[in-house]
Amino acid sequence: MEIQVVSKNNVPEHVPDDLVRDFNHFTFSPEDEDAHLNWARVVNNDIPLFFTPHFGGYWVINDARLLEDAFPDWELFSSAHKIGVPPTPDDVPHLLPIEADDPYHKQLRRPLNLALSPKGVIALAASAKELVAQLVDEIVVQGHCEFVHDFSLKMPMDLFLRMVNLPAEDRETLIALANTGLKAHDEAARLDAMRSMNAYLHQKVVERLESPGDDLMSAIITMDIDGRKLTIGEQVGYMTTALFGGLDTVGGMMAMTARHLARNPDHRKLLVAHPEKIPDMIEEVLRRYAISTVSRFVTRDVEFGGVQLKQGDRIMLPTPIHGIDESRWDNALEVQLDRKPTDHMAFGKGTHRCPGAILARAELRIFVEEWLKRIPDFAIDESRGGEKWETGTVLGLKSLPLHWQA
Amino acid sequence: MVRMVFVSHDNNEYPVEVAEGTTLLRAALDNGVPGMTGECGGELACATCHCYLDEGVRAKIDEPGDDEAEMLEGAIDVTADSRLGCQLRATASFDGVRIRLPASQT
Ligand code: HEM
Ligand code: FES
Repeated sequence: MEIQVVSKNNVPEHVPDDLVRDFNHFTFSPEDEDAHLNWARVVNNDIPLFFTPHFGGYWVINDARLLEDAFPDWELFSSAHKIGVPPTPDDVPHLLPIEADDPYHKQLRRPLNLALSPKGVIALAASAKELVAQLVDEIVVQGHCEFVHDFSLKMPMDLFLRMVNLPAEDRETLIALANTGLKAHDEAARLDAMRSMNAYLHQKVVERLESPGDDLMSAIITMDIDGRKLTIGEQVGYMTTALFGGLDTVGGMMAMTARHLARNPDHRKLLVAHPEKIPDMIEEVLRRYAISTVSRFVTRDVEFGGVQLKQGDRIMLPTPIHGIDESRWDNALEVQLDRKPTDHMAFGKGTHRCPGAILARAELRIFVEEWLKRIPDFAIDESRGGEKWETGTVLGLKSLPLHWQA
Repeated sequence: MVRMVFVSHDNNEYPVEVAEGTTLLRAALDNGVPGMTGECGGELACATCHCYLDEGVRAKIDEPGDDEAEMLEGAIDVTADSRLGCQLRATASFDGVRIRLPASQT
């Protein structure tokens, strides 16, 4: 895939012509093409850092090492000016703790770190196992499913609703809002869904404050920070992140995992015979098929990656490019179970590194274990349209029809 | 240099030699010692750098600060010997010390 070089319209003075590309992360890869392979062509052929005029203009990091430098440098690359491309308007509360800088951010993380710690995850993993088993049992007899709709959108939402003690019946409404809020190409539709989600959470926060329990939502909304309670805006913003943070990402990685196994019978067979190797496979899938993209605000004029950035510029940090950069990994596109990567970027790096990583790994492991126990052999169902991709903040599959011998 | 021995939960010994000031997390990771995961990279956010120190060395070093004590609550099989390896620096007090690792971090 070649990205078009565009003329210097809508590009700030300090950006040289030869660094400008016509790139829109929502539309750069069509739905019937593998978005990682399209990214791989960009990362392995084009310059390490380029500028695109879309959405008011932003830099795009296109190199694994630059990504490793950018993530931990929160003083240079701030999250407090929001992390979306484009950022949400001012009336949408900051997503917390993600859209905040240290030291405030570190304080906000405390209840989440404990809830999602190794000890916290023991109980959550038991819940996850129950939910996975229940869902797979429901679909195994059909002999086919649309994996995204029937499984990977549902399971993480069910678990989240249990963690925060909200009614399981709200699942479908919330899935629809989360999907539109994160994925719709139309900005107005995205914002509409975000606002509805905020309104829903606002109401739930107010109710929960009257009778807090021992769930994660109570821990978040009753926390103290510098001896004060959170404001309602902070509480709602925090719950929004907690909700978005663990849904699309875990579901998206589950779909990547299912697709990889559907296409690689040798890996399937190996894992059925050696379930103890499942964590190694998951780590490789996280590296090879990373899905999250965030952005930052440049806090001072600086030379970065050989390019002059100016205070106020936006810069995008796409984790999907890290694992597929051939200059960073040997045979980057190959999933090798003995690679055991400990330094991939699927969960970011530095102070904002994903607090849900331990839980996410447990959910993915449990999914593969329980799925392969019941459905050891399966393939992508081309007669039902095959896989369909989508790109954006979270890149991934919007549908993955699978079939097997029931 | 400071010489220490990491001891896995099933009693395998991993001797290491590191520059003074190195964190115990770094010392383990850089020397390929299994059992110190360090998921958050030393940000005091994950409790997967949990390790056990004997009374002898604990008497010579500072007690855990409030933040470390809070994060330790998230570790598994915590005892009076428990510390977080990303918060400890190898000083002369650690010379010759054995650092035991928990079964949960494998
Ligand atoms: C495979 C699944 C997951 C992936 C790929 C993933 C990815 C990421 C990434 C890349 C970041 C860093 C964002 C940044 O630097 O701006 C992040 C942060 C975050 N994630 Fe995850 N995540 C996953 C699962 C989860 C789960 C299960 C939860 C919660 C239950 C969660 C909650 C969060 C939160 C709250 C943050 C913000 C942390 C902060 O700003 O300090 N994530 N995640
Ligand atoms: S490495 Fe995460 S708390 Fe020490």
